[in-house]
Amino acid sequence: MENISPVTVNLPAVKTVKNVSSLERAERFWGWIMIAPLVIGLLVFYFIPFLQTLFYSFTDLNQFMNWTEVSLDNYRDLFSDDDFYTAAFNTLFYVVVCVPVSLALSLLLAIGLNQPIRGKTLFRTLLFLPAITMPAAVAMVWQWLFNGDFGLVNHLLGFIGLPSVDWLSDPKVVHLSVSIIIIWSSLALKIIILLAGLQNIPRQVYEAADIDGIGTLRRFFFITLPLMLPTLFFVSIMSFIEVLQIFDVIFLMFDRSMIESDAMTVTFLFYKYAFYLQEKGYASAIAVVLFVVTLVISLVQMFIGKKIKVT
Amino acid sequence: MTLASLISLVPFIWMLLTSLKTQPESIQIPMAILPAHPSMQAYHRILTEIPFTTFYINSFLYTFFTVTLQMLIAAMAAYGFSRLTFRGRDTVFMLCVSILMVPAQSFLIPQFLIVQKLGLVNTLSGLILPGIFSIYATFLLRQFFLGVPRELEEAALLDGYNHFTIFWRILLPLIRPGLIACTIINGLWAWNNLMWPLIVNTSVNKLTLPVGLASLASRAGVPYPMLMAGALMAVLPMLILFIFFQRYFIQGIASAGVKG
Repeated sequence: MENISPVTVNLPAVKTVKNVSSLERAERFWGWIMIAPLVIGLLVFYFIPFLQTLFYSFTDLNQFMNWTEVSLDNYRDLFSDDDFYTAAFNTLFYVVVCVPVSLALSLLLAIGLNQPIRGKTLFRTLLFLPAITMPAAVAMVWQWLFNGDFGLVNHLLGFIGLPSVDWLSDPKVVHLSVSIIIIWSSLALKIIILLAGLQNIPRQVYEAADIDGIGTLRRFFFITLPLMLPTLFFVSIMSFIEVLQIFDVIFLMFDRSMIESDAMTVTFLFYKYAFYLQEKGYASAIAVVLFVVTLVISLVQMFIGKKIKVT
Repeated sequence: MTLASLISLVPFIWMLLTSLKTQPESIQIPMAILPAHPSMQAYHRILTEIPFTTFYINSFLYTFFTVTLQMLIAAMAAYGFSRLTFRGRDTVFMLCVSILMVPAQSFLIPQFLIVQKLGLVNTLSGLILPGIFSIYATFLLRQFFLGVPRELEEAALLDGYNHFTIFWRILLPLIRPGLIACTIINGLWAWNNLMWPLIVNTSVNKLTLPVGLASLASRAGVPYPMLMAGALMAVLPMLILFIFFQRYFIQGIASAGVKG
């Protein structure tokens, strides 16, 4: 009996190994075939271009794609360019103002939408509308709403007895106006993601809290907030990177002279040099700086993200 | 909540009201909130005086082809990355995903130069080409494929089907909700995209809606009712889609966040 059992076990085993190896070969073959279109496309249009941008940032590239090496000159120029500092300052301003404000507002609204209130579906639909609206249209209508002479915003301010403001031409308020537009148009997306996160919190957690008689505020700070931390963190990083690359609104809201002084961002500066002034080497250096900043933020995200998951 | 909903609605109402006004009425002081004599004149003018219909068709074709090709390529790759095991798979996937960390501007100049070299500036193909390779869509569809039980394709393999047939006939229909959500979100992005169309297509007859609107706005003396009529018409298709497919819109956006 002891002699037989290995034989009976071995026979089918040998057969399976053969089958598995031919199946494995088929899997490997089809695996590469299925990913080939994507991988080739990414190589040609993303990986190699990225390396080219790195390379171009050390060159002077003219309209006819002839390049001469300038080593670090583009970067040296960039860091002594007043426009770059203005753009960097503006971008930073939008990040510092818009990210926390929109995060807080969207969390508040998401919690509101998660309550059993009447007309929830209607509120939800209305609140989500900005997420699907074309940025070009958003910029255009806000430009009109913010118009100093015939805009609705000033009209409403006048209604409650406040003076008119030159929302889009006064350098002192233009950043605020742009921030309002950015926040208005980016809230919806965050609300959707946060709402999905809120709905993933098990109902029992709140039921237990109810039994213990915990108040609304403590409920928020001791239950909702800690459980939402990973989602909030993801949304804040997403928002960081989004605001860092803000372009459409700036491009559409202001005439060119305005952009150069008051509201321009780093991506606008990139666009101006790359496709308007045809200084592609210099523009590449701007793109590389933008990449480095994004990379640092992403790495911080991964680092903190890991910590949050542990706790 | 009511206030916030109203604030998100005001710009749309304002677009509509302004688009129904006459030019002098739109800039009169004190301002009139409601149009005294609502008229469709602004719509008529934007459709006849400007190649707005052409912008519309361009935007539609750009969105349609981008998303269709994107979904095909992304679904194939997502199947490969999730259902098939082969050496190097996970490394390649991680490399692909790393692209998500690089801002679009870092690809833009060389992408433009490639399209220019291929002679595709001011063509639909040039507009579509780089965008059809979407690692974002691949990532999302991969999540959906991972949720399908393994036994399904094992049976099909024993019946002698090859992997492409299994992918096309069995698994793709199973992840239809994911495909719809992903199509809608990527369609929205393509429809609203400004930067790439702005760079690649510059001749008037090749502009898409966002670029067309931008060029309208920068032209001196274009009346506001016309601009608002244009903006509203550009937003309308997505508005209608959103009302009918809300669930999929929200699912698409939410799954991007929760799984990210």
